[in-house]
Amino acid sequence: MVALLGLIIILALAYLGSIYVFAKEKLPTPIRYLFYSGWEFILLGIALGPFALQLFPPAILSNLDPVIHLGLGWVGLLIGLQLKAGDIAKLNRRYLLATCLQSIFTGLAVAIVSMPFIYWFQSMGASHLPIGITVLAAASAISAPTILFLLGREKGFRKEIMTFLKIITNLDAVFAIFAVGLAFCFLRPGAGFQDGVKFLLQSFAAGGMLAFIFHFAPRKELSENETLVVLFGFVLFSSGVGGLLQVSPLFLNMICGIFLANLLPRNDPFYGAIINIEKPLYVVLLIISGLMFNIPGGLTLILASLVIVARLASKYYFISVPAPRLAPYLEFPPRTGFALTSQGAMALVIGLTFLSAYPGNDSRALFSVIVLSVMVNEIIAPYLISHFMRKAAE
Amino acid sequence: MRQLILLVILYLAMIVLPAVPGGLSAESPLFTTTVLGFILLASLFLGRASADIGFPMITGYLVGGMICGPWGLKLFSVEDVHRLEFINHLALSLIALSGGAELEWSMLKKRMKNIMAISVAQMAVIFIGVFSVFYLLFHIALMESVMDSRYGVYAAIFLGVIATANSPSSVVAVINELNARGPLAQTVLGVSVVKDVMVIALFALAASFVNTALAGTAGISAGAVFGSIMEETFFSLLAGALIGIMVIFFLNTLKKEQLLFTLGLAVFCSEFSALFHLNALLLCIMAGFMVTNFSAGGGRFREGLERGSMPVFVIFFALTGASLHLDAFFEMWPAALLLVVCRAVCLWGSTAGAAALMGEEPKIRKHLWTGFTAQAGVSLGLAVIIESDFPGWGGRLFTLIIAAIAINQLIGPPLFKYSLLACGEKKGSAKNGKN
Repeated sequence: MVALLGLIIILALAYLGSIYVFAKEKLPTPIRYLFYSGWEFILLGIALGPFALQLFPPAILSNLDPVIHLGLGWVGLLIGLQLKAGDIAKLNRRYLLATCLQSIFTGLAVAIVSMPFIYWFQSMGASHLPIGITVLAAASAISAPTILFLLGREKGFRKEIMTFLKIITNLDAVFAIFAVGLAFCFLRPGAGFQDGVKFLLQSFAAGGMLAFIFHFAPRKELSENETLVVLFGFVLFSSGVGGLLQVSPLFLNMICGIFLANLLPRNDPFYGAIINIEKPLYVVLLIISGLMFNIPGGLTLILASLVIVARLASKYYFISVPAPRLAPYLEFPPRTGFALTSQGAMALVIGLTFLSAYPGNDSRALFSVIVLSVMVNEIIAPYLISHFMRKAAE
Repeated sequence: MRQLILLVILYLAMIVLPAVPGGLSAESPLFTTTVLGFILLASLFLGRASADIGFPMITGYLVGGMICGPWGLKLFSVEDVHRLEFINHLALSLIALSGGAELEWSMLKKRMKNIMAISVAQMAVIFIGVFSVFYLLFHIALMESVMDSRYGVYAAIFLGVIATANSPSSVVAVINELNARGPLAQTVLGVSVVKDVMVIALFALAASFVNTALAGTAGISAGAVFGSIMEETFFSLLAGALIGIMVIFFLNTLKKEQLLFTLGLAVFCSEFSALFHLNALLLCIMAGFMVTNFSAGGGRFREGLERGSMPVFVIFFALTGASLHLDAFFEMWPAALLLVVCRAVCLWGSTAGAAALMGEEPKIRKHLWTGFTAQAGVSLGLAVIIESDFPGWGGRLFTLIIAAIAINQLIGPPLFKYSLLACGEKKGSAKNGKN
C-alpha cells in the first residue's frame, strides 16, 4: 500500500512537473534551472530505490549492469566523437592549457581534502581506494556548460570570457575521463608501473581496433531504427570489452570515439543516432544514480561537504589567479570562477564507472559523495552564475 | 558479406578476450554485456537477411538468439538469459502498448462478435482435438518413450490447454514490421487479447483438476480459480484504462521527449503489474488502446513507441530464440511434429469454420488461422509451471511442449507475414523495418 501511495505521489508530481516544465516562464529561475540539470531524475531514482519505495531491490539493481555499461559506453563515445583533430587544432592553445590545468588543480584540491578519509574507507576493506579518490577528484574537476549558457543567453551575456568558459566547460570532462582511464590502468590493486603501461596500451589498442571494426560496419543502407540497433550492439560490445580488460568502459569508448571522429565523414548517419538518444540515456543514468545512492552517514556527509567546498574554492581561485596569466588579453570580471559551479551528469557517469567496476559498500559511499556534490552544486549554480553575470555587467 | 565478416571478427574477438592476461574470464557477468552486443548485431543482420528472402525480421532475430544461445554457440548460459529478464519485461510492455495502440475501436466494435466467436471456437476445438489425439496415443502406449501412460490423461489435458495459446508479441511484431492495417490484422490482434485471458483461465482450471486428481484431495474449486482469474483480468483492464487516461493527460502537456516518456511508461507498467500481481500484457494493451482511441495524441504516442524500441524488440526476440531448447527439439521431434500438425489442423478448422459462420470475407477465412500459429511467451511460461509443479512426467511434457513451441515460433511469423501481404494489408514500410 505504501508503494502504491508512493507511486501515485510520484505520478502526480511528474504530471505537475511536466505542466510547469513546459510553461517555464511561470517558475522562478533557480527552480527552472534545476529541471535543466536533471535533478528531478536523481530524486526519482532515490524515491524508487532501496531506501524508499523499494521498487528496485538490490537483486534487480545488480542486473542493471548491461544498461549502465551501455550508458557509460555511449557517453564515452559521444565525448570522443567531438574530438576531431582539425577542430581541436583550431582552438586557442592557451585556453586548452588553462582547461587542463584547471582540471588538475581542482582534482588535486579535492584529492587532498579526501585523503584523510582513506583510513575510514580502508577499514571497510577497500584495496581500490586510490582509484576511488581519483574518481572523486575527476568527477569534481568537471564543470557543466548547460546552465551557464542558458543563463548567458537569457541575460544577453556576450562577453569574450564566455568563449574561454565554453572551452573549459566542454573539454574538462575529457581530462577527467582521461584521469579515470589512467587510474584504472595504473592504480589497479596489485598492478605495478609496467602493468599499468601494458593496460594503457591495451586500452588504446582495443579502442583503436573497435573503431576500425565499427568503421567497417554497414551504415548507409540502414534505417534510423536499425542504425540505433547497430550502435547499441556496438557500444554494448565495446563496453563489455572494456569491462573484461578491466579498463574503464568510459575511457575505452572515448578512445574509440576519438578514432572514429577522425575516420567518419561529418555527415555519417551514426552522428544523428548518437545525438538523438543522448538525452534518454542521460536520464536513465541519472535515475540509476539515484537508485545507487546510499543514505549518507555522518562521515559521508562531512566528506561531501569538504569536497563541495574544496571544488568551489579551487575553481574560484584558479580563475582568479592563474587563469588571467594564461590568457592575459582576456578581461576576467570579478567572481568568474562561479561560472564553473554546475557539475552536471557527467560527474555521475564517472562515479558509475567506478561503482560498476568495483562494487561494494565503500564504492557506494564514495559514489554517494559524488551524488550529493552534484545535487548541491546544481542547486547553488544558478544563483552563483547569475551573481557572476550581474557583477560582470556592472 | 560485409556483415558476415564483421560478425566473424567480433566472434573471434570474444573468444580471444577472456584469454588476455589481467582481464576477466568468460564467467564474468561483464561477458554478458559483450555477448549482448554481439547478439544485437548478429540478430539484426540475420533479421535483414530474413527480410531479404521474404521472411519476417523476427524470424532472423529468433534464429540469431538460437545460434548464440545455450544450445547453439553457447555464448551465454540459461542463467544469463534469466539475468536479462528485466529486458524481457520492458520489451513485453512495449510490445503490448504497441499492440493496444494498433487496436482501433471503430473497427473493433464492428468485429467484436466475430472476435468472440473465433476465440471460443479456437479454444474449444484445439483443446478437444489435441487432448483427444494425445490421450489416445498415450493411453494405448504408442508413445511410451514420451509419456508414461499412467499420466497420459493429465499430460494430454495440459497439451490441449497449451496448444490453444498463441504469441501476441509475435503478432504485434509482424504487424508493426508491415505497418499493417485492416480486418485481418485487427481480428488477429483482438482474438489474441481475448485468448490471452481464456488460456490463463483454462490452464488454472486444468492445473487445479490435475492437482486434485493426483493428490486425491480436494483442490481449489473451479469457481474459486475462475473468480480469481476474472478478478485479475478486471483489475488489469481497470488499471490499464486508468494508466491510459493518465497518459492522455500527460500527452496534452508533453510535446517532446516522446521516446523517454514511452520507455518510462513501459517500465512503470511492468513494475506496476508485478507489484500488484496483474497481467502486464492486458494492462499495457488496455493502456495503449485508451490512448490511441480516446486522445488526439495517439499518433505521437505510436511514434514514440516506434522510435527507439527496436533495440529492445531485437533483444527480446533473440532472448526468446535463446530460450527455445534445441536439445528438446532433437530429442522429441517426431512427437513435437505431430503436436504441431494436430494443433495446426484444429486451428485451421476452428478458425475457418467460425469465420465462415460469422460471414467473414473468403480471403480472411482462408488466411486468418496463420496469425495464431506462433507460440512464445505465454506458452513457455505455462510449460515452465508444468515442469516445476509436476516433477518427473512434467519434465518430459515440458520437453515436448518446448520442442513444439520452437517449431511453431519459427513457422508462425513467416506464415502470418505471407497472409497479411496476400490480404493486401501492408500499408507501406514501417519505421521499425527496412527503408
